[in-house]
Amino acid sequence: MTSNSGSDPRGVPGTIRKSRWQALGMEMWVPPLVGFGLIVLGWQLYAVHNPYVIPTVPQIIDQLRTHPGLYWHDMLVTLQEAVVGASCGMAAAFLLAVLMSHVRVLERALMPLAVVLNVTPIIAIAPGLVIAFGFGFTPKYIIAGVIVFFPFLINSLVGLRSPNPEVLDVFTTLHASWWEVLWRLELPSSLPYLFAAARICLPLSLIGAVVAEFSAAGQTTGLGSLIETSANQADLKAVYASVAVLALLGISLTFVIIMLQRRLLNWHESDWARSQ
Amino acid sequence: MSRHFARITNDDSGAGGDGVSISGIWKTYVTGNESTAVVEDITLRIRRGQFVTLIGPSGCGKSTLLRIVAGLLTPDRGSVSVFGETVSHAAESKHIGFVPQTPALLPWRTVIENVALPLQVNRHGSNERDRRSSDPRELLESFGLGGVMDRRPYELSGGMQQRVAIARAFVFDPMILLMDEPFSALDEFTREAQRRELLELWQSNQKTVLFVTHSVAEAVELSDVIVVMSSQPGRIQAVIPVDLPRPRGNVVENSDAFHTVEVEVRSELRRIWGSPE
Repeated sequence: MTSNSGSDPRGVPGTIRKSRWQALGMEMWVPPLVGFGLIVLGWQLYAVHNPYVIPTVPQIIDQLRTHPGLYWHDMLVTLQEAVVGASCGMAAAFLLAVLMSHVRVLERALMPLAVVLNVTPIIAIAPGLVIAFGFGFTPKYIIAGVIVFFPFLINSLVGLRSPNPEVLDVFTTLHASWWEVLWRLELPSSLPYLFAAARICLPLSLIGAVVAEFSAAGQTTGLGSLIETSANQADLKAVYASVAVLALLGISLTFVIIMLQRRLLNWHESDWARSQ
Repeated sequence: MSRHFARITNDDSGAGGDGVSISGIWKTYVTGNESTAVVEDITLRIRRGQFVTLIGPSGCGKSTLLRIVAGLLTPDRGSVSVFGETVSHAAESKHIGFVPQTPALLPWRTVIENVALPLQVNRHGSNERDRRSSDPRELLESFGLGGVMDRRPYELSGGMQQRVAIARAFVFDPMILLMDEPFSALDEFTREAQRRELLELWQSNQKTVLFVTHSVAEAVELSDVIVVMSSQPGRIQAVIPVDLPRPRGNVVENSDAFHTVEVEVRSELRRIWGSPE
Protein backbone atom coordinates (compact mmCIF):
# COMPACT_ATOMS: atom_id res chain seq x y z
CA MET A 1 0.00 0.00 0.00
CA THR A 2 1.50 3.33 -1.01
CA SER A 3 1.13 6.32 1.21
CA ASN A 4 -0.17 9.57 -0.25
CA SER A 5 0.39 11.51 2.92
CA GLY A 6 3.07 13.74 1.40
CA SER A 7 0.58 15.54 -0.77
CA ASP A 8 -1.81 16.36 2.05
CA PRO A 9 -1.79 20.17 2.24
CA ARG A 10 -3.46 20.26 5.64
CA GLY A 11 -0.54 18.54 7.29
CA VAL A 12 0.20 20.45 10.50
CA PRO A 13 3.74 20.36 11.86
CA GLY A 14 3.93 18.10 14.84
CA THR A 15 0.92 15.99 13.98
CA ILE A 16 1.25 12.61 12.36
CA ARG A 17 -0.14 12.71 8.88
CA LYS A 18 -2.72 10.15 8.01
CA SER A 19 -2.17 7.73 5.17
CA ARG A 20 -5.06 6.77 2.95
CA TRP A 21 -5.29 3.46 4.79
CA GLN A 22 -5.96 5.35 8.02
CA ALA A 23 -8.09 8.02 6.42
CA LEU A 24 -10.64 5.50 5.21
CA GLY A 25 -10.86 3.96 8.65
CA MET A 26 -9.52 0.70 7.26
CA GLU A 27 -7.28 0.34 10.26
CA MET A 28 -10.46 0.00 12.26
CA TRP A 29 -12.51 -2.21 9.97
CA VAL A 30 -10.17 -4.54 8.19
CA PRO A 31 -8.66 -6.54 11.09
CA PRO A 32 -12.00 -7.51 12.67
CA LEU A 33 -13.47 -8.32 9.24
CA VAL A 34 -10.53 -10.59 8.44
CA GLY A 35 -10.87 -12.29 11.83
CA PHE A 36 -14.59 -12.78 11.33
CA GLY A 37 -14.05 -14.11 7.83
CA LEU A 38 -11.56 -16.70 9.08
CA ILE A 39 -13.99 -17.95 11.70
CA VAL A 40 -16.81 -18.24 9.15
CA LEU A 41 -14.45 -20.15 6.88
CA GLY A 42 -13.46 -22.54 9.68
CA TRP A 43 -17.11 -23.02 10.59
CA GLN A 44 -17.99 -23.81 7.00
CA LEU A 45 -15.15 -26.35 6.63
CA TYR A 46 -16.20 -28.13 9.82
CA ALA A 47 -19.91 -28.04 8.93
CA VAL A 48 -19.37 -29.59 5.50
CA HIS A 49 -17.70 -32.62 7.10
CA ASN A 50 -20.03 -32.89 10.11
CA PRO A 51 -23.50 -32.16 8.75
CA TYR A 52 -25.31 -33.47 11.85
CA VAL A 53 -23.44 -31.29 14.35
CA ILE A 54 -23.71 -27.82 12.88
CA PRO A 55 -25.37 -26.45 9.74
CA THR A 56 -23.35 -24.83 6.98
CA VAL A 57 -23.24 -21.06 6.58
CA PRO A 58 -25.36 -21.03 3.38
CA GLN A 59 -27.96 -23.16 5.15
CA ILE A 60 -28.24 -20.61 7.96
CA ILE A 61 -28.51 -17.72 5.52
CA ASP A 62 -31.07 -19.63 3.50
CA GLN A 63 -33.11 -20.29 6.64
CA LEU A 64 -33.20 -16.58 7.42
CA ARG A 65 -34.08 -15.70 3.83
CA THR A 66 -36.98 -18.10 3.56
CA HIS A 67 -38.61 -17.17 6.89
CA PRO A 68 -37.90 -13.45 7.31
CA GLY A 69 -41.23 -12.71 9.01
CA LEU A 70 -40.75 -15.38 11.65
CA TYR A 71 -37.30 -14.20 12.70
CA TRP A 72 -38.25 -10.55 12.51
CA HIS A 73 -41.26 -11.11 14.76
CA ASP A 74 -39.38 -13.23 17.30
CA MET A 75 -36.51 -10.79 17.33
CA LEU A 76 -38.89 -7.94 18.15
CA VAL A 77 -40.38 -9.96 21.02
CA THR A 78 -36.97 -10.74 22.54
CA LEU A 79 -35.80 -7.18 21.94
CA GLN A 80 -38.84 -5.82 23.75
CA GLU A 81 -38.31 -8.15 26.71
CA ALA A 82 -34.64 -7.24 26.97
CA VAL A 83 -34.95 -3.49 26.48
CA VAL A 84 -38.01 -2.95 28.67
CA GLY A 85 -36.61 -5.20 31.38
CA ALA A 86 -33.15 -3.66 31.25
CA SER A 87 -34.53 -0.11 31.27
CA CYS A 88 -36.63 -0.79 34.35
CA GLY A 89 -33.76 -2.61 36.06
CA MET A 90 -31.25 0.13 35.29
CA ALA A 91 -33.65 2.89 36.35
CA ALA A 92 -34.40 1.10 39.63
CA ALA A 93 -30.69 0.49 40.25
CA PHE A 94 -29.83 4.14 39.60
CA LEU A 95 -32.57 5.44 41.88
CA LEU A 96 -31.45 3.07 44.62
CA ALA A 97 -27.85 4.20 44.12
CA VAL A 98 -28.94 7.85 44.53
CA LEU A 99 -30.68 6.94 47.78
CA MET A 100 -27.73 4.89 48.97
CA SER A 101 -25.20 7.61 48.22
CA HIS A 102 -27.20 10.10 50.26
CA VAL A 103 -28.27 7.83 53.12
CA ARG A 104 -25.39 5.64 54.22
CA VAL A 105 -27.64 3.49 56.43
CA LEU A 106 -29.64 2.45 53.38
CA GLU A 107 -26.48 1.24 51.70
CA ARG A 108 -25.58 -0.89 54.69
CA ALA A 109 -29.11 -2.26 54.92
CA LEU A 110 -29.73 -3.01 51.27
CA MET A 111 -26.33 -3.82 49.76
CA PRO A 112 -26.22 -7.36 51.22
CA LEU A 113 -29.64 -8.05 49.70
CA ALA A 114 -28.43 -6.78 46.35
CA VAL A 115 -25.42 -9.08 46.64
CA VAL A 116 -27.67 -12.06 47.37
CA LEU A 117 -29.75 -11.18 44.33
CA ASN A 118 -26.55 -11.01 42.31
CA VAL A 119 -25.02 -14.30 43.39
CA THR A 120 -28.23 -16.29 42.90
CA PRO A 121 -28.10 -17.92 39.45
CA ILE A 122 -30.76 -16.27 37.39
CA ILE A 123 -31.77 -19.56 35.78
CA ALA A 124 -32.77 -20.86 39.19
CA ILE A 125 -35.40 -18.21 39.79
CA ALA A 126 -36.87 -18.24 36.29
CA PRO A 127 -39.28 -21.19 36.74
CA GLY A 128 -40.59 -19.76 40.00
CA LEU A 129 -41.26 -16.40 38.37
CA VAL A 130 -43.14 -18.11 35.54
CA ILE A 131 -45.39 -19.84 38.04
CA ALA A 132 -45.98 -16.59 39.91
CA PHE A 133 -46.49 -14.29 36.92
CA GLY A 134 -47.66 -16.59 34.13
CA PHE A 135 -46.44 -17.02 30.61
CA GLY A 136 -46.77 -13.40 29.51
CA PHE A 137 -44.15 -10.67 29.32
CA THR A 138 -43.96 -9.95 33.05
CA PRO A 139 -41.55 -12.71 34.15
CA LYS A 140 -39.29 -11.90 31.17
CA TYR A 141 -39.12 -8.25 32.12
CA ILE A 142 -38.34 -9.20 35.71
CA ILE A 143 -35.54 -11.56 34.77
CA ALA A 144 -33.98 -9.13 32.28
CA GLY A 145 -34.29 -6.42 34.94
CA VAL A 146 -32.81 -8.50 37.74
CA ILE A 147 -29.83 -9.57 35.68
CA VAL A 148 -28.78 -5.95 34.97
CA PHE A 149 -29.65 -4.61 38.40
CA PHE A 150 -26.45 -5.31 40.30
CA PRO A 151 -23.82 -4.26 37.76
CA PHE A 152 -25.74 -1.05 37.17
CA LEU A 153 -26.16 -0.39 40.89
CA ILE A 154 -22.44 -0.75 41.60
CA ASN A 155 -21.42 1.43 38.67
CA SER A 156 -23.99 4.08 39.56
CA LEU A 157 -22.69 4.23 43.12
CA VAL A 158 -19.08 4.60 41.98
CA GLY A 159 -20.16 7.22 39.44
CA LEU A 160 -22.21 9.25 41.91
CA ARG A 161 -19.23 9.34 44.23
CA SER A 162 -16.76 10.28 41.50
CA PRO A 163 -16.96 14.11 41.61
CA ASN A 164 -13.81 15.89 42.74
CA PRO A 165 -14.32 16.89 46.43
CA GLU A 166 -13.19 20.42 45.64
CA VAL A 167 -16.00 20.83 43.11
CA LEU A 168 -18.37 19.62 45.79
CA ASP A 169 -16.89 22.30 48.10
CA VAL A 170 -17.76 24.95 45.54
CA PHE A 171 -21.34 23.67 45.37
CA THR A 172 -21.54 23.61 49.17
CA THR A 173 -20.34 27.19 49.59
CA LEU A 174 -22.98 28.22 47.05
CA HIS A 175 -25.55 26.44 49.22
CA ALA A 176 -26.73 24.32 46.30
CA SER A 177 -29.62 21.98 47.15
CA TRP A 178 -29.11 18.21 47.04
CA TRP A 179 -31.14 18.19 43.87
CA GLU A 180 -28.88 20.79 42.22
CA VAL A 181 -25.82 18.79 43.27
CA LEU A 182 -27.37 15.63 41.82
CA TRP A 183 -28.51 17.23 38.58
CA ARG A 184 -25.60 19.54 37.84
CA LEU A 185 -22.72 17.59 39.34
CA GLU A 186 -23.29 13.98 40.33
CA LEU A 187 -25.36 12.87 37.36
CA PRO A 188 -23.05 14.31 34.68
CA SER A 189 -20.01 13.00 36.57
CA SER A 190 -21.47 9.52 36.68
CA LEU A 191 -22.40 9.38 32.98
CA PRO A 192 -19.11 7.70 31.93
CA TYR A 193 -19.75 5.00 34.53
CA LEU A 194 -23.39 4.63 33.52
CA PHE A 195 -22.45 4.16 29.88
CA ALA A 196 -19.79 1.62 30.75
CA ALA A 197 -22.43 -0.23 32.76
CA ALA A 198 -25.02 0.00 29.98
CA ARG A 199 -22.60 -1.62 27.55
CA ILE A 200 -22.46 -4.60 29.88
CA CYS A 201 -26.10 -4.53 30.91
CA LEU A 202 -27.92 -4.47 27.56
CA PRO A 203 -26.25 -7.64 26.23
CA LEU A 204 -26.80 -9.18 29.68
CA SER A 205 -30.49 -8.41 29.44
CA LEU A 206 -30.62 -10.36 26.18
CA ILE A 207 -29.31 -13.36 28.10
CA GLY A 208 -32.01 -12.76 30.70
CA ALA A 209 -34.75 -12.60 28.08
CA VAL A 210 -33.59 -15.78 26.34
CA VAL A 211 -33.27 -17.69 29.62
CA ALA A 212 -36.75 -16.57 30.61
CA GLU A 213 -38.13 -17.79 27.31
CA PHE A 214 -36.41 -21.17 27.78
CA SER A 215 -38.33 -21.75 30.96
CA ALA A 216 -41.61 -20.33 29.74
CA ALA A 217 -42.00 -21.07 26.09
CA GLY A 218 -45.62 -20.27 25.61
CA GLN A 219 -47.44 -17.13 24.77
CA THR A 220 -44.46 -14.95 24.10
CA THR A 221 -42.56 -16.43 21.23
CA GLY A 222 -39.17 -14.85 21.08
CA LEU A 223 -35.87 -16.16 19.80
CA GLY A 224 -35.32 -18.16 22.99
CA SER A 225 -38.58 -20.04 22.51
CA LEU A 226 -37.71 -20.54 18.87
CA ILE A 227 -34.35 -22.07 19.80
CA GLU A 228 -36.02 -24.30 22.37
CA THR A 229 -38.67 -25.67 19.99
CA SER A 230 -36.25 -25.97 17.07
CA ALA A 231 -33.73 -27.87 19.20
CA ASN A 232 -36.46 -30.29 20.28
CA GLN A 233 -37.18 -30.96 16.61
CA ALA A 234 -33.44 -31.23 15.85
CA ASP A 235 -33.85 -28.32 13.41
CA LEU A 236 -30.23 -27.14 13.54
CA LYS A 237 -30.68 -24.55 10.81
CA ALA A 238 -33.37 -22.76 12.82
CA VAL A 239 -31.36 -22.98 16.05
CA TYR A 240 -28.30 -21.34 14.53
CA ALA A 241 -30.30 -18.84 12.52
CA SER A 242 -31.81 -17.68 15.82
CA VAL A 243 -28.37 -17.53 17.41
CA ALA A 244 -27.14 -15.40 14.51
CA VAL A 245 -30.07 -13.03 14.91
CA LEU A 246 -29.37 -12.78 18.65
CA ALA A 247 -25.74 -11.95 17.96
CA LEU A 248 -26.78 -9.23 15.52
CA LEU A 249 -29.21 -7.90 18.08
CA GLY A 250 -26.47 -7.70 20.72
CA ILE A 251 -24.16 -5.92 18.30
CA SER A 252 -26.87 -3.42 17.38
CA LEU A 253 -27.65 -2.64 21.03
CA THR A 254 -23.96 -2.11 21.78
CA PHE A 255 -23.67 0.09 18.71
CA VAL A 256 -26.57 2.27 19.85
CA ILE A 257 -24.94 2.70 23.27
CA ILE A 258 -21.61 3.66 21.72
CA MET A 259 -23.28 6.23 19.50
CA LEU A 260 -25.12 7.77 22.46
CA GLN A 261 -21.91 7.74 24.46
CA ARG A 262 -20.01 9.63 21.76
CA ARG A 263 -22.75 12.19 21.59
CA LEU A 264 -23.07 12.80 25.32
CA LEU A 265 -19.54 12.23 26.55
CA ASN A 266 -17.48 14.26 24.12
CA TRP A 267 -16.10 16.13 27.13
CA HIS A 268 -14.72 13.03 28.79
CA GLU A 269 -11.09 11.88 28.88
CA SER A 270 -11.99 8.58 27.25
CA ASP A 271 -13.10 10.61 24.27
CA TRP A 272 -10.09 12.90 23.88
CA ALA A 273 -7.91 10.38 22.12
CA ARG A 274 -10.49 10.08 19.40
CA SER A 275 -10.66 13.81 18.76
CA GLN A 276 -6.92 14.25 18.48
CA MET B 1 -8.64 55.98 50.99
CA SER B 2 -7.18 54.79 54.22
CA ARG B 3 -7.23 51.09 53.56
CA HIS B 4 -3.48 50.82 53.78
CA PHE B 5 -3.62 51.74 57.40
CA ALA B 6 -6.42 49.42 58.35
CA ARG B 7 -5.40 47.05 61.07
CA ILE B 8 -6.71 43.81 62.36
CA THR B 9 -8.06 44.29 65.83
CA ASN B 10 -8.90 41.52 68.21
CA ASP B 11 -11.66 43.34 70.02
CA ASP B 12 -15.24 43.20 68.86
CA SER B 13 -15.91 46.90 69.15
CA GLY B 14 -17.08 48.97 66.24
CA ALA B 15 -19.61 48.03 63.60
CA GLY B 16 -20.16 44.32 64.26
CA GLY B 17 -21.82 43.67 60.93
CA ASP B 18 -19.09 45.11 58.79
CA GLY B 19 -16.43 42.56 57.99
CA VAL B 20 -15.69 39.06 59.11
CA SER B 21 -15.08 38.23 62.72
CA ILE B 22 -13.69 34.93 63.83
CA SER B 23 -13.88 34.48 67.57
CA GLY B 24 -12.40 31.76 69.71
CA ILE B 25 -12.32 29.00 67.11
CA TRP B 26 -11.20 25.53 68.21
CA LYS B 27 -11.14 22.48 66.00
CA THR B 28 -9.92 18.98 66.79
CA TYR B 29 -9.72 16.04 64.41
CA VAL B 30 -10.29 12.60 65.86
CA THR B 31 -8.74 9.62 64.11
CA GLY B 32 -9.20 6.36 65.96
CA ASN B 33 -8.10 6.93 69.54
CA GLU B 34 -5.98 9.94 68.79
CA SER B 35 -7.28 13.46 68.66
CA THR B 36 -5.24 16.24 67.15
CA ALA B 37 -5.93 19.87 67.85
CA VAL B 38 -5.67 21.54 64.46
CA VAL B 39 -6.82 25.01 65.30
CA GLU B 40 -6.70 26.45 68.80
CA ASP B 41 -8.35 29.61 70.01
CA ILE B 42 -8.20 31.66 66.83
CA THR B 43 -9.63 35.14 67.02
CA LEU B 44 -9.39 37.44 64.04
CA ARG B 45 -11.20 40.35 62.51
CA ILE B 46 -11.18 41.19 58.84
CA ARG B 47 -12.46 44.59 57.80
CA ARG B 48 -14.52 45.13 54.70
CA GLY B 49 -12.26 45.43 51.68
CA GLN B 50 -9.19 44.03 53.42
CA PHE B 51 -6.90 41.48 51.86
CA VAL B 52 -5.82 39.14 54.64
CA THR B 53 -3.38 36.28 54.15
CA LEU B 54 -2.94 33.23 56.32
CA ILE B 55 0.58 31.86 56.16
CA GLY B 56 2.30 29.10 58.08
CA PRO B 57 3.96 25.71 57.79
CA SER B 58 1.90 22.86 56.41
CA GLY B 59 -0.36 21.36 59.01
CA CYS B 60 -0.79 24.67 60.81
CA GLY B 61 -4.50 24.59 60.26
CA LYS B 62 -4.68 27.52 57.87
CA SER B 63 -6.76 25.57 55.38
CA THR B 64 -8.91 24.24 58.24
CA LEU B 65 -9.58 27.80 59.38
CA LEU B 66 -10.46 28.82 55.83
CA ARG B 67 -12.82 25.86 55.51
CA ILE B 68 -14.50 26.83 58.77
CA VAL B 69 -15.10 30.35 57.47
CA ALA B 70 -16.42 28.82 54.23
CA GLY B 71 -18.88 26.69 56.19
CA LEU B 72 -17.30 23.48 54.93
CA LEU B 73 -16.30 22.52 58.48
CA THR B 74 -17.96 23.30 61.78
CA PRO B 75 -15.75 24.40 64.64
CA ASP B 76 -15.86 22.57 67.98
CA ARG B 77 -15.98 25.90 69.78
CA GLY B 78 -16.22 29.53 68.78
CA SER B 79 -18.13 31.36 66.12
CA VAL B 80 -17.68 33.09 62.82
CA SER B 81 -19.71 36.03 61.66
CA VAL B 82 -19.64 37.06 58.02
CA PHE B 83 -20.90 40.64 57.71
CA GLY B 84 -23.20 40.14 60.65
CA GLU B 85 -24.56 36.78 59.52
CA THR B 86 -23.75 33.24 60.60
CA VAL B 87 -21.73 31.27 58.08
CA SER B 88 -24.68 29.12 57.05
CA HIS B 89 -26.85 32.20 56.49
CA ALA B 90 -24.05 33.80 54.51
CA ALA B 91 -23.80 30.67 52.33
CA GLU B 92 -27.56 30.62 51.91
CA SER B 93 -27.55 34.14 50.53
CA LYS B 94 -24.47 33.36 48.45
CA HIS B 95 -22.12 35.76 50.17
CA ILE B 96 -19.18 33.38 50.14
CA GLY B 97 -16.98 32.90 47.11
CA PHE B 98 -14.64 29.93 47.36
CA VAL B 99 -11.59 29.30 45.18
CA PRO B 100 -10.09 25.86 45.90
CA GLN B 101 -6.52 24.71 45.32
CA THR B 102 -7.29 23.15 41.96
CA PRO B 103 -9.52 24.93 39.45
CA ALA B 104 -12.28 22.35 40.09
CA LEU B 105 -14.15 23.15 36.88
CA LEU B 106 -16.88 20.98 35.41
CA PRO B 107 -15.31 19.25 32.40
CA TRP B 108 -18.59 18.92 30.50
CA ARG B 109 -19.26 22.65 30.64
CA THR B 110 -17.61 25.26 28.48
CA VAL B 111 -15.71 28.10 30.14
CA ILE B 112 -18.68 30.43 30.07
CA GLU B 113 -21.03 27.73 31.34
CA ASN B 114 -18.64 27.06 34.21
CA VAL B 115 -18.59 30.71 35.13
CA ALA B 116 -22.38 30.88 34.94
CA LEU B 117 -22.78 27.97 37.36
CA PRO B 118 -23.08 30.07 40.55
CA LEU B 119 -25.91 32.04 38.92
CA GLN B 120 -27.80 28.82 38.18
CA VAL B 121 -27.71 27.13 41.57
CA ASN B 122 -29.44 28.37 44.71
CA ARG B 123 -31.30 31.03 42.73
CA HIS B 124 -33.25 32.45 45.61
CA GLY B 125 -29.94 33.17 47.35
CA SER B 126 -29.17 35.83 44.75
CA ASN B 127 -32.44 37.71 45.17
CA GLU B 128 -30.95 40.68 46.90
CA ARG B 129 -31.46 44.27 45.98
CA ASP B 130 -27.97 45.69 46.01
CA ARG B 131 -26.39 42.74 44.31
CA ARG B 132 -24.16 43.37 41.33
CA SER B 133 -23.99 39.96 39.70
CA SER B 134 -21.92 40.25 36.55
CA ASP B 135 -22.77 39.11 33.09
CA PRO B 136 -20.50 36.07 32.63
CA ARG B 137 -19.63 37.22 29.11
CA GLU B 138 -18.47 40.67 30.17
CA LEU B 139 -16.66 39.26 33.18
CA LEU B 140 -14.71 36.81 31.04
CA GLU B 141 -13.81 39.61 28.63
CA SER B 142 -12.42 41.61 31.53
CA PHE B 143 -10.49 38.55 32.71
CA GLY B 144 -8.89 38.29 29.28
CA LEU B 145 -10.71 35.03 28.67
CA GLY B 146 -13.06 36.34 25.99
CA GLY B 147 -11.39 34.25 23.32
CA VAL B 148 -11.79 30.92 25.07
CA MET B 149 -15.35 31.30 26.35
CA ASP B 150 -16.68 28.39 24.35
CA ARG B 151 -13.75 26.07 24.98
CA ARG B 152 -13.82 23.18 27.40
CA PRO B 153 -11.57 23.43 30.47
CA TYR B 154 -9.18 20.68 29.33
CA GLU B 155 -8.28 22.76 26.30
CA LEU B 156 -6.88 25.51 28.55
CA SER B 157 -3.57 25.80 30.38
CA GLY B 158 -3.45 25.41 34.16
CA GLY B 159 -3.13 29.16 34.68
CA MET B 160 -6.12 29.89 32.48
CA GLN B 161 -8.19 27.25 34.25
CA GLN B 162 -7.40 28.90 37.57
CA ARG B 163 -8.42 32.26 36.15
CA VAL B 164 -11.76 30.73 35.13
CA ALA B 165 -12.16 29.43 38.68
CA ILE B 166 -11.54 32.93 40.05
CA ALA B 167 -14.01 34.41 37.56
CA ARG B 168 -16.54 31.86 38.78
CA ALA B 169 -16.07 33.19 42.31
CA PHE B 170 -16.43 36.81 41.19
CA VAL B 171 -19.50 36.42 39.00
CA PHE B 172 -22.11 36.38 41.75
CA ASP B 173 -20.61 39.28 43.69
CA PRO B 174 -19.93 37.53 47.01
CA MET B 175 -19.08 39.63 50.04
CA ILE B 176 -15.97 37.64 50.86
CA LEU B 177 -13.57 35.65 48.71
CA LEU B 178 -11.92 32.66 50.33
CA MET B 179 -8.90 31.39 48.42
CA ASP B 180 -7.12 28.21 49.44
CA GLU B 181 -3.62 28.32 47.90
CA PRO B 182 -5.17 28.94 44.49
CA PHE B 183 -1.82 29.33 42.71
CA SER B 184 0.07 26.50 44.36
CA ALA B 185 -0.32 24.12 41.45
CA LEU B 186 1.07 26.60 38.92
CA ASP B 187 4.63 27.12 37.76
CA GLU B 188 6.54 30.15 39.01
CA PHE B 189 6.02 32.33 35.92
CA THR B 190 2.31 31.68 35.72
CA ARG B 191 2.05 32.23 39.45
CA GLU B 192 3.64 35.64 39.14
CA ALA B 193 1.26 36.68 36.38
CA GLN B 194 -1.74 35.37 38.28
CA ARG B 195 -0.78 37.36 41.40
CA ARG B 196 -0.55 40.54 39.36
CA GLU B 197 -3.93 39.90 37.84
CA LEU B 198 -5.52 39.12 41.16
CA LEU B 199 -4.10 42.36 42.58
CA GLU B 200 -5.53 44.37 39.71
CA LEU B 201 -8.89 42.72 40.09
CA TRP B 202 -8.93 43.27 43.79
CA GLN B 203 -7.94 46.89 43.30
CA SER B 204 -10.97 47.50 41.13
CA ASN B 205 -13.45 45.34 43.05
CA GLN B 206 -12.56 46.09 46.66
CA LYS B 207 -13.49 42.62 47.75
CA THR B 208 -12.79 41.31 51.19
CA VAL B 209 -10.34 38.44 50.76
CA LEU B 210 -9.02 35.72 53.02
CA PHE B 211 -6.15 34.05 51.24
CA VAL B 212 -4.17 30.98 52.29
CA THR B 213 -0.62 30.60 51.01
CA HIS B 214 2.74 29.18 51.97
CA SER B 215 4.72 31.66 49.92
CA VAL B 216 6.10 34.65 51.87
CA ALA B 217 6.64 36.77 48.78
CA GLU B 218 3.08 36.11 47.65
CA ALA B 219 1.72 37.10 51.05
CA VAL B 220 3.67 40.35 51.19
CA GLU B 221 2.85 41.29 47.63
CA LEU B 222 -0.89 40.77 48.02
CA SER B 223 -1.91 41.53 51.57
CA ASP B 224 -2.99 44.34 53.81
CA VAL B 225 -2.43 42.06 56.76
CA ILE B 226 -0.46 38.84 57.11
CA VAL B 227 -1.50 36.37 59.80
CA VAL B 228 1.35 33.98 60.65
CA MET B 229 0.15 30.70 62.12
CA SER B 230 2.18 28.23 64.15
CA SER B 231 1.62 24.53 63.71
CA GLN B 232 0.26 21.74 65.87
CA PRO B 233 -1.82 23.15 67.28
CA GLY B 234 -2.53 25.99 64.88
CA ARG B 235 -2.40 29.28 66.73
CA ILE B 236 -1.91 32.84 65.63
CA GLN B 237 1.80 33.52 65.97
CA ALA B 238 1.79 37.09 64.73
CA VAL B 239 -0.36 39.59 62.90
CA ILE B 240 1.78 41.69 60.60
CA PRO B 241 0.30 44.73 58.87
CA VAL B 242 1.68 45.46 55.43
CA ASP B 243 1.75 49.23 55.04
CA LEU B 244 3.01 49.30 51.51
CA PRO B 245 1.53 51.65 48.94
CA ARG B 246 -0.86 50.35 46.35
CA PRO B 247 -0.96 49.60 43.50
CA ARG B 248 2.08 47.45 44.07
CA GLY B 249 4.31 47.14 41.07
CA ASN B 250 7.97 46.37 40.59
CA VAL B 251 8.98 49.59 42.33
CA VAL B 252 7.26 48.59 45.54
CA GLU B 253 8.51 45.05 45.34
CA ASN B 254 12.09 46.19 45.13
CA SER B 255 11.73 48.73 47.91
CA ASP B 256 13.32 48.41 51.31
CA ALA B 257 9.94 48.56 52.99
CA PHE B 258 8.87 45.45 51.08
CA HIS B 259 11.96 43.57 52.19
CA THR B 260 11.50 44.71 55.77
CA VAL B 261 8.04 43.11 55.86
CA GLU B 262 9.36 40.01 54.15
CA VAL B 263 12.11 39.66 56.72
CA GLU B 264 9.63 40.17 59.54
CA VAL B 265 7.37 37.39 58.23
CA ARG B 266 10.32 35.08 57.72
CA SER B 267 11.65 35.65 61.23
CA GLU B 268 8.21 34.89 62.68
CA LEU B 269 8.13 31.68 60.67
CA ARG B 270 11.63 30.82 61.90
CA ARG B 271 10.51 31.27 65.47
CA ILE B 272 7.88 28.59 64.86
CA TRP B 273 10.53 26.16 63.64
CA GLY B 274 12.74 27.07 66.61
CA SER B 275 10.06 26.48 69.21
CA PRO B 276 10.09 23.05 70.91
CA GLU B 277 6.49 22.39 69.88
